[in-house]
Amino acid sequence: MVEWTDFERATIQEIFSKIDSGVVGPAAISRCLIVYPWTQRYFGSFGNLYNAAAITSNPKVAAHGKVVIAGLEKALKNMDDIKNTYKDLSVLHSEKLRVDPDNFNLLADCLTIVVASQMGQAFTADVQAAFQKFLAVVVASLRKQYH
Amino acid sequence: MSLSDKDKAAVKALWAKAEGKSNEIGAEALGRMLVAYPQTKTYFSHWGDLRPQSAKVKKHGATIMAALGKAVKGIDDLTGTLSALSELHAFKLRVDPANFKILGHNIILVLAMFFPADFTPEVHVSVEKFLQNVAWALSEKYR
Repeated sequence: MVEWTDFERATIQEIFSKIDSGVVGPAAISRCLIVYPWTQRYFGSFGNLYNAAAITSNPKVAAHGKVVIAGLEKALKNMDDIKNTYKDLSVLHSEKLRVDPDNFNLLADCLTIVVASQMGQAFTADVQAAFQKFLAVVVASLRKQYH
Repeated sequence: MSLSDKDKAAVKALWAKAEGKSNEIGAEALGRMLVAYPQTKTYFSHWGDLRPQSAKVKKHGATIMAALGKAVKGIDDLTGTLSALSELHAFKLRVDPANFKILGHNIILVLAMFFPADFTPEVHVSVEKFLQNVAWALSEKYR
């Protein structure tokens, strides 16, 4: 079981209350698709991903960004058992979507960078550490059902 | 993933903006890395105070950024430009090259924080590719 300090719990809750989730989700996904173009392989049905401008203005990408954040908020509500909370999501990503789990780290990095640029100086080193720990637990839980 | 002319131009343009704050950026990035990736502290146990604003962290952050500035200027031949530093890291410091990626991530994060409008996804790609190539050049002499 993951041990969360009081600081980590409070910090992670605060991050999600501070950020504009309608902006962060879409920004993180589009950044991921642009910075790591091979991740586009999972989004063949999304239409025009031809260049950065197309990706950033693609409504399906934006919608999916919001889906991802909603998923993270589920983990936020169940921080003491993210592993089980994500069981079905893990099976989905493994057996239906067939996403290489190394890609989860890429999206996690993009999320961190987008949150950092939104929060500015408030995103201190300790806040960064807490957020990255949260994302690491999320990624590990998403990997759990792969076999 | 080698650097295109577009990548080189993007890196040089961002560096022109960032150079004035490079000491601060370096200190921030190094400080954050030591906090968010505690395993990296193992290379600096002889420093004592490893908190982000300590004198040694600040000084070393500046050293790193100065070297990156050299790399930007020598972007057409990173292997040659970084040859001496590669020897240092390979034979004396013996830093596991996986850590270059970790520091790179923190440099990128700090750049995004300091220059949110300039650090667009397209600039991000070029800078990340640059740092990857720097890491590769730094690893050259390892084996």
